Amino acid sequence: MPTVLIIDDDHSVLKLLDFAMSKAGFQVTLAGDGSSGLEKAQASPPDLAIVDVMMPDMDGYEVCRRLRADPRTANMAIIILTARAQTVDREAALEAGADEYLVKPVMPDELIRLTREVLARPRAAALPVERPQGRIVTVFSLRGGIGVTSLAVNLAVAFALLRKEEIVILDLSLLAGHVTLMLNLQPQLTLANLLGAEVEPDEKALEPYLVRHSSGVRVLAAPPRPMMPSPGSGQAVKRLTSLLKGRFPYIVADTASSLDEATTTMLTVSDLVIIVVAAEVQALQTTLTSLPALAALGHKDDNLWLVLNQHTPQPPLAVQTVEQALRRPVRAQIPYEPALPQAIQRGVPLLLHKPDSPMAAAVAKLAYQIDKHLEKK
Amino acid sequence: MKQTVVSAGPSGYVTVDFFSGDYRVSAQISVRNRTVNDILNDKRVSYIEIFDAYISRISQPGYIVGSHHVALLRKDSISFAVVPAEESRPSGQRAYRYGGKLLYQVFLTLPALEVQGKVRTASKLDLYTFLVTNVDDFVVLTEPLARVANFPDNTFSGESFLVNRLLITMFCANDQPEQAE
Repeated sequence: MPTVLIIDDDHSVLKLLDFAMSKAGFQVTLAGDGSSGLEKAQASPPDLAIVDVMMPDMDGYEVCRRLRADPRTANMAIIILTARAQTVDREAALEAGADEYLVKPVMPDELIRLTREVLARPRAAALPVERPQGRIVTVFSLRGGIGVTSLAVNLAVAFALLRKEEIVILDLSLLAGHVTLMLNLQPQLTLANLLGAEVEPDEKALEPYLVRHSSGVRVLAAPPRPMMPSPGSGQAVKRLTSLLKGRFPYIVADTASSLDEATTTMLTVSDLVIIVVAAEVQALQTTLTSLPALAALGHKDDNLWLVLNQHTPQPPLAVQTVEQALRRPVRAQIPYEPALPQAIQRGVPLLLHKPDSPMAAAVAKLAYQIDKHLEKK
Repeated sequence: MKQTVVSAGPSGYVTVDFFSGDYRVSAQISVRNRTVNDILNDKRVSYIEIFDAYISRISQPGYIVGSHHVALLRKDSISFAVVPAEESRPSGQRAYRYGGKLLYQVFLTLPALEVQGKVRTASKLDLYTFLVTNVDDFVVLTEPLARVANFPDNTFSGESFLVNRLLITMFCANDQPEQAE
């Protein structure tokens, strides 16, 4: 069933076209303004979009230009439907990238006929529009319970706020993933369906797996029940990250406290690895033993960032002790935040729950530093 | 079965292209039980309230430079308005003056614009009566075409124009009228 997105600020038009086009056999999605239309088109690219010109927040020509500029939607069919009926308006619509132009008032039958005609035209497989590849930041520690997931979630939110774009977080804690819990999300589809899949998913097939959070973070969730990474999960992780890099500016990975195949692959393909350490002897010892393994994956020192997470109010060791023991500088310190357990319990990231807290500020600063660091590369 | 039309605006509103000075404004006006002709020729109100106004320069008439939910237009600054045929005629008692079976081809100039089209009359077209003693400020042109004097490639057409008689700087007409159907 062909999918059609209708973008119009007139609700009576949306209602009428929804009825007429659904009856004609199209799967219809509606958007009441240009911005939400763009979001819906990018989230799930339809076969064709019908776009009004005279809309308050963003006119239809601009919507058309943005759809054509985005590789995800560059190749979809577009019909401009407008009350502006001059020859110059038709030229403006075609210049903006529309396939066809129709003047209101129009009979639904005429629009349906044109929709079918446009959809029947051969289209290029893809337009040669390139988007810069996204960056992968993996948050890792072999010592569990020191705030790796909490840091990963808040870091993803910080990236989304910084970039004002959607960011994806990949929950690779296959035995006990808690990302969706911290964001109060209930995913229907998880990594369990993808890692075991025999067929390679494409970008469109991946879309239903990316659960949306209001902060701009999309979550590829860990399985609801513990799952042992199967042989070949490394290849699956490679394929997934390759797809996600073409779509999101940042992929934040929350990893398991082990060096299983999926985690090792994730660490290998990362642009930057955050090694989370706590100011306690056990965490130091675990980190010390994991550093050679990380170096063996080919990462240079400037892409292995040590981040000290003060997950207890009074850590037993000083930051200097940590640096001396690990023989590398601590790139960032995340201070203890008493409101964190409450934020987790409510399923709200601390950056949104208490944005003026020292911890939120530290995470936002860390996101900024990473962004600048990776921008230079 | 009769189909509902996908209209250009909410019920009771008409989408009109106004040309005023160097600008083109596509907007909606509330007509209720009247027509656009009634509203433009209503001498009690010197402004017209428009909604969802999309503004373009006539040098780049397809490019929208701004949009506003509500705006006021001075009627005396409107050169012409592009309207559907049914909106070009007056309603009620004024309607009788718009009959006639003679169609005169005319050419007229407005500030920065040249316009051609047809004028419908009941008797021989008297330029003086039409242009000077006419009661209505906005006169109807059918089969119209406007051209921007400085950008002659930019043309505008529509079912009917309502032309501001008071801004016409030159008015020419053919001698021989056609018979309207």
